[in-house]
Amino acid sequence: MNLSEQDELLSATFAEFAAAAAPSVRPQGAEAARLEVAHRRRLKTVSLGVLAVLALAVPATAYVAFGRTAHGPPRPPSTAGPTVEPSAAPTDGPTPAPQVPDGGPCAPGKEPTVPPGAVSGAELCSATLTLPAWQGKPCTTTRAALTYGQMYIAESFHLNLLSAIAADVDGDGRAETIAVFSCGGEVFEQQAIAFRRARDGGIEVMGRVLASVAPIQGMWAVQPIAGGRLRITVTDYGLFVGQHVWTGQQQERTYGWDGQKFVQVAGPTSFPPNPHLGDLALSAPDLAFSAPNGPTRTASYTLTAGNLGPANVPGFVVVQVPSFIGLVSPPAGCEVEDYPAGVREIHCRLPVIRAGTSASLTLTLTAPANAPSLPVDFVPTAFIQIPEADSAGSGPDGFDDPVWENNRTDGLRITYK
Amino acid sequence: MAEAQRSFDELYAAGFQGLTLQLYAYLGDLAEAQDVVQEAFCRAFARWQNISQYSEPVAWVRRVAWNLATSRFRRQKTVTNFLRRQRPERVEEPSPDRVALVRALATVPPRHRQAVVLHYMAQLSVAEIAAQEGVAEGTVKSWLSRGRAALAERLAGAKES
Repeated sequence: MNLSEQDELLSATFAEFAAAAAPSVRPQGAEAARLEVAHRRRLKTVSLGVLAVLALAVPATAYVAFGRTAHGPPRPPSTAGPTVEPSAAPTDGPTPAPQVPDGGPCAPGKEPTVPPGAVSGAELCSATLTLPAWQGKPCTTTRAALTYGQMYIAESFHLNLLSAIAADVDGDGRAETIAVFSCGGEVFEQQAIAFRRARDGGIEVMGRVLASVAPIQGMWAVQPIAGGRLRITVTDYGLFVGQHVWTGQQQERTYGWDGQKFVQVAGPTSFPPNPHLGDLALSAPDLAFSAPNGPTRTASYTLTAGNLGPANVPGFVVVQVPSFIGLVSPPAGCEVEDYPAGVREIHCRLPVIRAGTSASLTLTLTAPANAPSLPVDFVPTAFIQIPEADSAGSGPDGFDDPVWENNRTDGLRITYK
Repeated sequence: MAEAQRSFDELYAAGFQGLTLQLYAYLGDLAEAQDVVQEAFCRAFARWQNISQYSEPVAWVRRVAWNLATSRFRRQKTVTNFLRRQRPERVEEPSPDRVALVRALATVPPRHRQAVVLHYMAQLSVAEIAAQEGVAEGTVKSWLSRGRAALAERLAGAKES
């Protein structure tokens, strides 16, 4: 079959498929989407509210805050839900008009009191700046041309000015401005940057105070304290969209200007192991069936889930196989679910796996003697799943598994003797 | 009705069915495809103030829906679906003709399958698929070429048998 014939066959087949399946599609409706988003926002308000109270509980000292986010947590993107990181490749196309913010340091109507010589929040909100380099993915741009404290980079991908405060960090009697920027989309990076007035009257970067470089995943608040120092609340988890904010550990670290750069002068320098993070790693071989014995072949198939994290976690394993493969004498906790596309899924709940140990699961599988040798998508997967949890697989009691790459084994084959 | 709400409703009405059919072909499960597309529209509505300004909001929803379908979300939702299906309600079983294509697609590696579905159902060009997936056009050409050949062979074989 040549290319043209292939093209014709596929076009016709997909058109028939779409026409036949369309009447079966039953949208939940736009109203259902709105209600679900409203529900998630209520949940998020509860969880973020706890952290905002914690941030505000820090004793205030004399300083000027340009934005209402200077004390509280940065505004994370608005979706709560399972951890997913859609790609954010820049795209060509018209740049949309900037949104007028209804809060934060660049909201209209804010007239902050600015100490003499300091860069005002209003200036920053519409400035063109060259920022210190971002530390890793996903942001690469250092040129910031801000409007209302925002810069469009690509669809769902922005640079945002989150907060700005003034403090005399070098003791020269003039206040500098410390601003927190985020850059990215569903995954983003933050920098706290100090700005000062340049000799020509413009704005120049004094230095980077802190970047959200692993293991620091984000900053909740920047606060000036005595001696021109800056106290920053940092977290090791939970600022990316879909991650659970309650999973992160918060610490207060203090930074000061040494005449050349900002250095940490007080507070912890590392995070202890996060007791809410798990890390399951699945080890699985090819699925090798024996030579036929009468009408069937058999295979004893063992998967091993290792717990590399600090906590004891409940495990869950999913194995997808073609539907002609059967499971004999399912082990306790195992169920089989058939899908219309000729795919069979075997789900097995593992007992709690203690930190530093592993759990093995052995399945006895059968296949017909004349089983076709198909290049199927055979990808065993293990993840943490609390029995009563929602679809996200975690909740206020943990456990997230941020290292997803080792939870599945790709490239496996089904072989027959 | 507020303007923003109407435009979201219009996007939903115009995009839901087509996206669901694409994901149905890819995933082989209509209920799961509907879940994924609904989730993508929820995420769009949560950011609607920004996304409504895009030149093609549906492209954002499509990218998110496909990311959800090919990601951890799907594996986790699998468990939810599994638990949900323990209840009596079941989705309607598809007809044999629909099963034939889905069954043939299931034998095509995921990336090749995705390229074929995006090209033949979403009517996307190689360049558009490359932009959505963040890969080189040559990579998409390879996926599409191999996926098309494998699928055509399977479909032709199924018709002959």
